[in-house]
Amino acid sequence: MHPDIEALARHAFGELAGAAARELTRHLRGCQECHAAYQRVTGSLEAAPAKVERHEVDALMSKLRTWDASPLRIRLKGDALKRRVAGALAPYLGRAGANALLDPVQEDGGNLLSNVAPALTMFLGRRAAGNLVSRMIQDSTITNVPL
Amino acid sequence: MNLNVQDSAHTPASLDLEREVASLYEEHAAKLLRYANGLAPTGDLGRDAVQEVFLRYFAERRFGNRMDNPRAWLYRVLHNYLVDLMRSSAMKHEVSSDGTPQVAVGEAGAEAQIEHSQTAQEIASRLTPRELDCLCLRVEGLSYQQIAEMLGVRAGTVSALLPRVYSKLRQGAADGTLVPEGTAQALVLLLRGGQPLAS
Repeated sequence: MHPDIEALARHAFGELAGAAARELTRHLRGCQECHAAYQRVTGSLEAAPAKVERHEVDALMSKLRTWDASPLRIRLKGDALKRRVAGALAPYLGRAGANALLDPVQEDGGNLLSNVAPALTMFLGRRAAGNLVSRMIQDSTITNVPL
Repeated sequence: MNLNVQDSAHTPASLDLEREVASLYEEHAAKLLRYANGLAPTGDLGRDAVQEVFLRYFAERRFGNRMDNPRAWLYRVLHNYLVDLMRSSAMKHEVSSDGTPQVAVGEAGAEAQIEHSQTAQEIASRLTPRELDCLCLRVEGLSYQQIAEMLGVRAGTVSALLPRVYSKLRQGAADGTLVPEGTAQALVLLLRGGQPLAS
């Protein structure tokens, strides 16, 4: 099985050790595609450190605040939030399982993912759970928010 | 903008999180941008993609996610976002393949657009998700090797998938379910090495 981009990145950062690092190194020797992807990551790390312009950071902060104050984000609380997320989880956990998982979630959703992500990881594995969580947040809270 | 909304958005926790994101951005944005430009070297796409990924990071953190490795997380989400974007772009025919005609959907009339849309749906229904991914990326102008890298498969797999796609498209034209004009024609014209649909 091919490693995902996160595993390749961690290897490039020097964060994998022992058997995991050896296995990935062996895979990279025999897999041209993964080797190319790995080189793309290492190439990005070797780049001369470019200074990030202040206006870029300001533009990003402005985006974050716009999203945080958007009507969709403000409305998406309590039962509305739970219903939306339950819809995304139901195919994997069943409706009852999704509802049970979401039961302890706070009104403002501040502990939503700290409740949901570990359970999803248990059922689906880290890679699939990470992708599902990202997709869920994207579809539930970011899509259709004008930025 | 509603004042209460602004106030509620600027809690101490929110400001801490903004500082966290800003710090990560200053540390990693340039490298992520280089990665993005290596994967999708198209104008300002990389810069926008990098900002989008930091917005997603902020959103997930606001909903309580704890990334054990933010840097690796940023690379993963950026990679997936760019792949999705390129697929979507290919579906809309916004980018031409090298040397092949560019298809401007906006130039078609309303009826033609509906027909193109139906044809695109018909194409999508005939292909497996992986075949459709290959087709879209090929239309985007990517080489077999690049498609393989983006989908995490071997180049040989792409070499096997694309002829199957062409075959299904030709079959669709032969049995009359795919109209050989509009989107279908455009798709095939954009596929280097593909055979035009029989008319």
